[in-house]
Amino acid sequence: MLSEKPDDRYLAPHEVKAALEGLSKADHARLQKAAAALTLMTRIEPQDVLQEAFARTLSGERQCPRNLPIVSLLIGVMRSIRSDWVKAAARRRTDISVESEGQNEVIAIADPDNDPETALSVKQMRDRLVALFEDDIEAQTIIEADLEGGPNGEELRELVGLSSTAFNSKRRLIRRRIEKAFHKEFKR
Amino acid sequence: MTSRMKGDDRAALDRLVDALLEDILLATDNEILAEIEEDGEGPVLQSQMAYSQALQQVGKERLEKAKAEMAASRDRKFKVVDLDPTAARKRLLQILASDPSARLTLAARKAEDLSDADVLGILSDLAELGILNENDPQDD
Repeated sequence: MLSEKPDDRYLAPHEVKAALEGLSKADHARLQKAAAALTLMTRIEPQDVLQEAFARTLSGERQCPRNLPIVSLLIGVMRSIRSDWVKAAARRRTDISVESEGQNEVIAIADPDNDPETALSVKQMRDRLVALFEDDIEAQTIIEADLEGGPNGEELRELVGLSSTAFNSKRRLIRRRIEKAFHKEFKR
Repeated sequence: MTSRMKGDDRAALDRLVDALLEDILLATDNEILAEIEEDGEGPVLQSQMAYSQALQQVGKERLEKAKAEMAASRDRKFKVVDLDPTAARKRLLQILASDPSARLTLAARKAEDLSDADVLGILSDLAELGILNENDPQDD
């Protein structure tokens, strides 16, 4: 019987477990924050997506490249899980035809309790987010650029007219305010 | 009833999420610890709980898989043990004739010299190795 040679590019199962057991307090907080960001404006619980990412990594369903920090890997796994769940829900939806103002229009129906996506349009999302930063025109501009696919990185920083440090601080302020507004675990 | 989130809307949300994730990854441990100080330990505890639950989930799945494999193996053995000695001997000779693979020893090829217990034992071993197909006819 041929024995399977372990692939040195990936962590062995006992190394994966050791890496997960060794996650620091800051790592765990970072993962919870990432789970919260990834589930922003969805009906998916951050806890569920994080648990599933841990499970897929522990079971070996997702391999861990040696050169990738375990936190980055878990965030990638969570992103993939979120995408899988959203796609699966889209397949469960049913298109139906309704008459609206004398015209036939096709809309999708879903079970609102099991649909991971909200029905928010980009305009509704923008309205809710921009309202969080009524007092901060620079933050509003950054969020609008993100949502609209406008300039990013250096180009956006120059557009807003902030130094690198001030721009990074603004990014931090945006994340913190969104965390507190949308996720109860970040409110003391 | 809800309307489908359009591809453009999803892409817009994804861009914002990417920016948030980038900031989370860029934050130093000290900055994250300062945020914990401000928010409380809730996020840390939630992540630790998610890990504990994942450990239980994976352990349970492994146990269920092992149980299913044991049950399948037991089923294969029962099929062999249920044969009467004459049928078992006939079955072994059929296998030797149709599949004289290198895995079968010379002693086993002389099935007529074996005891009934030996014949059943060899059939069980073949079933374990997957050489004895449970769907093969047993009484022809």
